[in-house]
Amino acid sequence: MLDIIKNSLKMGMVLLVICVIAAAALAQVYSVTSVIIKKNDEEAEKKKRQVVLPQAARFEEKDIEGRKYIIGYDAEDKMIGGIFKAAPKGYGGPINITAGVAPDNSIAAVVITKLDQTETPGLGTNITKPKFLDQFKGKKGSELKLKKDSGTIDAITAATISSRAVANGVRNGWEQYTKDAGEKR
Amino acid sequence: MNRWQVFINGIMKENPVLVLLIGLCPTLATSSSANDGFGMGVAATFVLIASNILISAVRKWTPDQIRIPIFIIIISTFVTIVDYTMHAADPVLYANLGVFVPLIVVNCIILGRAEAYAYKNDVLSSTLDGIGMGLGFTLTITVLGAIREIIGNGTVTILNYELINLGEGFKPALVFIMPPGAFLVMGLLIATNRLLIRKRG
Repeated sequence: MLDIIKNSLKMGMVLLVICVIAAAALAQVYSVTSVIIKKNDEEAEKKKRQVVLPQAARFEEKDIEGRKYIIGYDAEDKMIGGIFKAAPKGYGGPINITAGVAPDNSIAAVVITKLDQTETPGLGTNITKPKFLDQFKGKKGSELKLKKDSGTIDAITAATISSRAVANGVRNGWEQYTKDAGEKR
Repeated sequence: MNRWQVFINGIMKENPVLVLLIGLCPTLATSSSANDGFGMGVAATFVLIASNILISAVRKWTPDQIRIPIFIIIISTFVTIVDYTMHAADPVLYANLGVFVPLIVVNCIILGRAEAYAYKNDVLSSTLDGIGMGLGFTLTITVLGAIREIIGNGTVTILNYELINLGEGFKPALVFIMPPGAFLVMGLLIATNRLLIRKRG
């Protein structure tokens, strides 16, 4: 009887020690890496803005109707478009979309990097490819739908859910953006 | 069994996927292209080697009854560390391999080797076993991915370099990059490996 108690205590102790070491190691690694990751993310974010509105020289974050948008200005401080973010639910979690809107209210460009999504490797991850994303350029309104949903966007073969999530995310974001910011120019 | 044999075993005679039939879940799921297969292989190999070393090093202090929880704590801690470190150190590499890292936790090759090998052998042998098994896994999943990709998509890409492109005229058989294709090619690879082993005697 005493042996069982002794054994259990010993096992508990070993497990405790290992858990403490593991937790300490994780905390240490996290505190070091999270700073760098944050910096990298900020840089990636800047790069994404530059990609969706390449003519912009300067960006400004603005609250319009309680929602956050990023407005791009050119060298002469003329507004040349806005950026909205959307995070629709894909097949494997949220897909973080960054999309630029041109002054004529059509989509300037849509960017989804590999880090912005957790779709199925090899199928859903194709939403990050230019072949899919370039289809959004210059479109607006109900054109921003999959062909299957009577729009103009070709879905990725075998990844309809991911494709639809992106198309609907862009359309909803675009509708909200044009409602909030589109008329105030 | 000498050390060289331990190392070479994982590639053919005891290939984790084709002979031991473990780690099938990530193998089937992430082999839809050579690039993804390769990425998964490299990321898993790294964790496999490291967890083999650690588990082999602490095997003397590990009570038999609670070895599985201890293995799991070590493996998942390591996977998370690899995840953070890769994310911080090289965002480009992480963009390509990042999606596979969390999947490694459920790769039973790692737990399987911990239980079947590292727990019973010294650190050096366990390291070699990790490298061999990792190579076998990487090789298998990359070949599987390449075959599926070329039939199902007409291309073979590794590390974003397009090695083969059959062009627009090629009508791909889409089923090969979908789950049934994984099973078909996998079965053929198992059969081929068996044949090769038998021929060598």
